Amino acid sequence: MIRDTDKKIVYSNPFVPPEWIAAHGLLPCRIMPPGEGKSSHAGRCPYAQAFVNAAQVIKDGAAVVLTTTCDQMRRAHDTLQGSGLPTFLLQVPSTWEHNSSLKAYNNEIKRLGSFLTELGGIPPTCEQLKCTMLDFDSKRTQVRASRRNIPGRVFCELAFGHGRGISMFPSQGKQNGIPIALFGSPITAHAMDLLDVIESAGGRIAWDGSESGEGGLCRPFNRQALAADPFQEMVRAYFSSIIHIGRRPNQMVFDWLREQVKNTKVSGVIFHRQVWCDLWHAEVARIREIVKVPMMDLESTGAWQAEAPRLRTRIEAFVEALS
Amino acid sequence: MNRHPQQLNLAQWEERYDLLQKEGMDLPPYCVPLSTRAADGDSRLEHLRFDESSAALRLWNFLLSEEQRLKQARDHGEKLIGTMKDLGTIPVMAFALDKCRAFYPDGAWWIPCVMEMGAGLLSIADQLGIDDSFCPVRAMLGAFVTKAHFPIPDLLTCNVGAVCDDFSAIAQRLEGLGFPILWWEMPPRRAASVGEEAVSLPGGFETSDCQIAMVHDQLRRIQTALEEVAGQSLTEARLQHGIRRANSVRASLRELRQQVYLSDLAPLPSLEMLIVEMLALHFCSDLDETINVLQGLLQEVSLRRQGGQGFGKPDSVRLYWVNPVADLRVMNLLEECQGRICGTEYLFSHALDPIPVDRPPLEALACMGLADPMVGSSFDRARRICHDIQFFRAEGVVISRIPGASHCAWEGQIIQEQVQRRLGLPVVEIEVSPVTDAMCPTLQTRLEALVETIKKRRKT
Repeated sequence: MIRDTDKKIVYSNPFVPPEWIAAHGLLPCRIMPPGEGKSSHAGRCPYAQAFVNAAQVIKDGAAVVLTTTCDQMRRAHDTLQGSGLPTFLLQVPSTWEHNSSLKAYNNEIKRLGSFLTELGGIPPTCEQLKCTMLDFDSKRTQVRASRRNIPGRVFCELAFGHGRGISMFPSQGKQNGIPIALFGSPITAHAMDLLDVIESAGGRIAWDGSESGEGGLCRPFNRQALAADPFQEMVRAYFSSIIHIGRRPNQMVFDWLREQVKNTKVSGVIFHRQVWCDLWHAEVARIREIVKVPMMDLESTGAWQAEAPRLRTRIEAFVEALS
Repeated sequence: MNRHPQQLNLAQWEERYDLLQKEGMDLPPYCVPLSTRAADGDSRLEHLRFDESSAALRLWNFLLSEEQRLKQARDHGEKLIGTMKDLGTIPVMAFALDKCRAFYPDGAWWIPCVMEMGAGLLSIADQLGIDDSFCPVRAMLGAFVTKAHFPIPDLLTCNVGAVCDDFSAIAQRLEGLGFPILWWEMPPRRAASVGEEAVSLPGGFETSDCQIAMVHDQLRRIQTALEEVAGQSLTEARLQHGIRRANSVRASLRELRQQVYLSDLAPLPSLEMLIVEMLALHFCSDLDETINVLQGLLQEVSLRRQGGQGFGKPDSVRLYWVNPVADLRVMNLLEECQGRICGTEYLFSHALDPIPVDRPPLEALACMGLADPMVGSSFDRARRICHDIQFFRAEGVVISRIPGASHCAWEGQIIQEQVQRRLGLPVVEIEVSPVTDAMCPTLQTRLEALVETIKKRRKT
């Protein structure tokens, strides 16, 4: 149970388990950076830069947690050091096929726990962790169930926040439109406008495989495993079920994508990536081969206000072509 | 020799080669006139200037004959290990086995420069969706596809984790093309947390016993894979012997760097020193010959120093260079701007440090892997750079960005701030693409401005 709502632990990456933070009595604060403001240096991922900008000005932040899922964010951690807030770099192994990788992630989550304790958090008992995990899990289940009944932007906000802060899930009735999937880099808050653009053009976000959407949610917890050892179940669920393009090898991403496209029968895919995001950029060709439906490659520079008209036109044309 | 050594262009080297031959120059069979290499496709040589010694000729031929060497090794039944994104760790293991040699596929990043885009490797990368927003190491993809620059290795390893995104992405793309890769993990180096034991690493960094244990496990997997490919056991004794041999290379390199960078006049030019330092990574696929090449250069440098001979002028500005250049020509350009290199961090200064011999060998190699400046924070790297700057008495710093490299976008600012804050030295940041001909005036202006700034500071 969250006991100290003043101490925000700021993060963005899906491999940071918010239930672990909450179980320590601190407030997990996953931020979707605004995406406009201080301009990016050449070569910097706009999302990483936007996160740094946002973390530097956040009010009531107690600490910032970044991960190693990409080198840009790993380097962003360096930039945040000396910003006044304690920072923690969570190693998320790129390799995943051997037990040593899961063990490394396991140890890192424990190390994160020690960091949270130093900030004033209290290590949870097994029972406290279990209750917190069940609470988050139930919210995520409700988020997933609401996909068909709420607009894409609302869903994205809910999924990004793991359904927190919502007592009643909104429903606006079954959403109609041409089923389109989103895939790729996480999006900034400003760029969420593109979800509105897709829907106003006649599309419907069938699923969002990016870090900002369903792709960034871990699988539902196995109740038996959770009862037996909640910490291990949390670690396994997060490490093994969240898809990430930075995994090595990353075949599981494409296997997941292939299944999703087949099962949901989407008419098209909008592949969104940040400029300078090498990990996603390198896979455009492979993704296009796998989805076998029309795919739009949308590169975002972070200057959303300037690029919105261009992107709007492209999205509208794409959705129109699908109809 | 009473006169100062000269830097020669290709045509001048033809005459020099004839002269040296008449004088009885004794070089291995792979050494040919550099014009032969240029005619074979290495056309960038026509735009470079070279040290005139036979030791330098041997160095250049050693570098440029690697492709033939690897092909011959394959023809003779040797096992080839492609060690990607590995700055000096696994080659030590591979060379400890008989009839097994390591090479560095990433080295293909220089092919577009050396062949002045003639090999078409970057075009192939473009067609595979890896365009020029990625680091020039994308040329490696083209090299694998064409199979024209090195044999496809028997085992391909790749370091991931605390590495740059573009290489990770390019290597994954390579696997997607059907080249199996043995991935191994490098955690981001950090200091020991509560409950962990702090361990000092070569180069002045620190880590924890947990991190060493993790990398040790990874190297054990590599060891098993090497043993399987080579059909031999990589015993502790063999590894220790391999480490001793690697350390002899590193000792020679350190000696050469100190002799060259600390001299009043540079006894060896910056371009040859860049090539020399690269030998630390994988011994240019021949560890024994690396030792011979280095010995030859050390002798030449020693003679020149005794005679007070060298390149440039005594008042040439002493510069510390950060990151390797994609275009070799820039090393000549620096000297044309009256600068000289006195100290370098070419992304792998840890490969110049001695591998510990007071630990079990795999653990020692794990320590070396974690001592990689690129694996830790940019502040760590900047600290090491500042230490070296003071040691080599550099007066200014050039940070050479690699186009598209994810780390360059972030760390340049930190390194610059740290150098200026700690040492108060001027810093310039430039970007060097594989062929800089069109950018030469811009680069020249920036380098000259730095040189002038430093000369003015001397007066005050």
